[in-house]
Amino acid sequence: MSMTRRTFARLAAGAVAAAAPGLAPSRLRVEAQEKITLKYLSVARGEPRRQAILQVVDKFEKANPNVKVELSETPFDQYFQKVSVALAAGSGIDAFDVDSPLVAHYAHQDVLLALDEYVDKKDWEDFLEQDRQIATYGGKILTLPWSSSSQAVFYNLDMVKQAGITPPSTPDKRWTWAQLLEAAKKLTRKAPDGSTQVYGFVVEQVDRPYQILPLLQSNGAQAISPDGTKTSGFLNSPEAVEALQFYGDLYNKHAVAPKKPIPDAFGRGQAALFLANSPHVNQIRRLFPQTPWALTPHPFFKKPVTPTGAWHVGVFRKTRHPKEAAALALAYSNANQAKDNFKIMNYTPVRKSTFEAFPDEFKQPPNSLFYHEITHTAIRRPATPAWREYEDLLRTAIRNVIDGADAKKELDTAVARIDAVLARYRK
Amino acid sequence: MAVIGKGAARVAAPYLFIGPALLGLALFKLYPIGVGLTASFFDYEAISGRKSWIGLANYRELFADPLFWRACWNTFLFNAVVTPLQVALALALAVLVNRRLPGIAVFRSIFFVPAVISLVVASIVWDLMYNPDSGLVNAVLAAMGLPPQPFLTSARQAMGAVIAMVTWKGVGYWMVIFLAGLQAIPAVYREAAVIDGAPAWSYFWRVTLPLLMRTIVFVVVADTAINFLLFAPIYIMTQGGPSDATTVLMFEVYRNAFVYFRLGYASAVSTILLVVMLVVVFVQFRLLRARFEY
Repeated sequence: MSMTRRTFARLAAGAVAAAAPGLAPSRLRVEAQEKITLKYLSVARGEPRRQAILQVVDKFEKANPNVKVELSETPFDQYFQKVSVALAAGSGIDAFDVDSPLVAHYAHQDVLLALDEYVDKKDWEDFLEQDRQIATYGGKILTLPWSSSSQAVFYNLDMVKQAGITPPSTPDKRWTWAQLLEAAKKLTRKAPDGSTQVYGFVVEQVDRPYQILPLLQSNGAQAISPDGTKTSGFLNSPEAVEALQFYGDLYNKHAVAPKKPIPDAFGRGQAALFLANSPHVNQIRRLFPQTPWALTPHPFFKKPVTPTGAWHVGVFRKTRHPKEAAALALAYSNANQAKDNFKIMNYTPVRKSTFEAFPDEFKQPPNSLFYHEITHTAIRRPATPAWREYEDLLRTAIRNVIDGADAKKELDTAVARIDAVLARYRK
Repeated sequence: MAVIGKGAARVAAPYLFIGPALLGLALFKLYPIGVGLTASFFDYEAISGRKSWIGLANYRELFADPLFWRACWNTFLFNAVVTPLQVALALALAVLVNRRLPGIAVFRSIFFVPAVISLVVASIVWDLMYNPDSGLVNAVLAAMGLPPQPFLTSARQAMGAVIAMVTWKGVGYWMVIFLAGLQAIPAVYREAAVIDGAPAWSYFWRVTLPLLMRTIVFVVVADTAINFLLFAPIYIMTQGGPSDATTVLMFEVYRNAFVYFRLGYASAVSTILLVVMLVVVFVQFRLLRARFEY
């Protein structure tokens, strides 16, 4: 019954599209004759970042009076699960935020609509080469990038001054992890009752491979074998174990970082050093204008490696309104909106035209540093269809090491489980 | 009272009464169990909808997976502690608040309060209380001059911490059931025991407990079922960690179904869980059979 109805709706939408000869003057506009609703699943981004998607929805609805966009914002921790449930149910989702390493995963599940026919070839060239690569799978454009990311260490100017520490400001003089630890020890302040008042160091995404994998890679480890078939001997190499143990020691042996994350610790003056991505520039400016801060580059072990990755927008293959959903995806990622997205969120841009529109932004701090990292030291997460499981299993290992478990044991366990998953995907 | 019908109508009447309940049971319990059992023989990717018959492969994989055995052990450990603890405490509290003392209703209400709090809310609040840095529990320990504890962040303490929370949450509810059971015991037995000069302890063991057996069976079986299927506190407080210390079978079902979207494998785990529960409940029914009627 529902199949018939869906098929009918799709046919109807097709008929409507065919009956509108001239089509939209602007790419934003699609001439839907009937009232339709598009469901957009987005990560809940908090202020000020969520203003970007709100603006997109608002503009899109004004340009397309027949289309209503129902925006559903889900906290990051539950987001991927929410998307997967909606995709499995086959309803309640037309377009959604796609974390770039998951493009391969969704492609393997065949849930993304190919967007080639909706994308202007010349406009596509405006995206940076690396982001186009991530968005393409099996020769088809599956997602449209709207942000990339890069990380640096925010430090509290007052606290650093008080402790007599001068963090380096340029990438060529960046701290090693050992140097950062020494600084964090000096910056950690205890109350008389033994509790910690100020933590020397906090991390934005404490247990996410996005953030922690680069530590292992900086120490010489690899995330996965070059052919993408196994992690054993790579993700649990001595270099990987050493780096992850160092990270765990920050929480246990040295106790310079809190085991359970404290919300907005840096902005509220409960942490002195904060390893985080570029949108925090806008967030701290907006929510904690009284906190004086500056940036020092991402620390390293043997060679500088920094996280990167992007948010894309994808369209569900089974949507009843492919044309409208694709138009919404374009509305979020087109060249004009990309500039607004950058102004609102301060994510690292994914379009050449955005970089060109703000020539000075990337020559001076803070964004010059993020720009340097993304062009020199950033390593993407591995493109494997098993990323969803890989992420979860490695995250569990990282979480356990933060809680005091042995890094070797945890990585050995994670590697065995990830390799079992990889073997399943090969079948 | 009027006689209800004759012949066929008389035979059909009871079935008509239990019919709706049976229908609901079949639709919402038996049918899903059947679907789950069938799914466990498939390699079933939920998102793409791809489905292929693989026979017992899910079960073979399951039995070869150390994490599955770890989850079995954790489930056993959790239930072996929580259920007896809850039942014993609930019974003790019920006996305590069964006395006619001034203000006893206030105590009954206080003990019952945890039962009316949402399990999710309780889990979040206890998670905050267990925070090793800024949690209430460590603050209390510090005030008593005791060293702070890692609680949920320690593989050794996490299970104990979850057990404590779950026990606190459940006791009040079972207390009320026991209280109802206690109050249903006719007062004549008590009077007879007093006249015979039976000491209170002896009265409890020889009269109250045997007469309370039906209530005990209900509480034990229902509590066992609830605890076997407990999921929210684990999901919210520990996510099965640290180092799998609190990974119970139910959490394995969830993780495989809704994180990895392997519905076939998850169904196999839940089928095993169901079988284990059936065996345990069967044994409980056999051991706790009521021998006295009143």
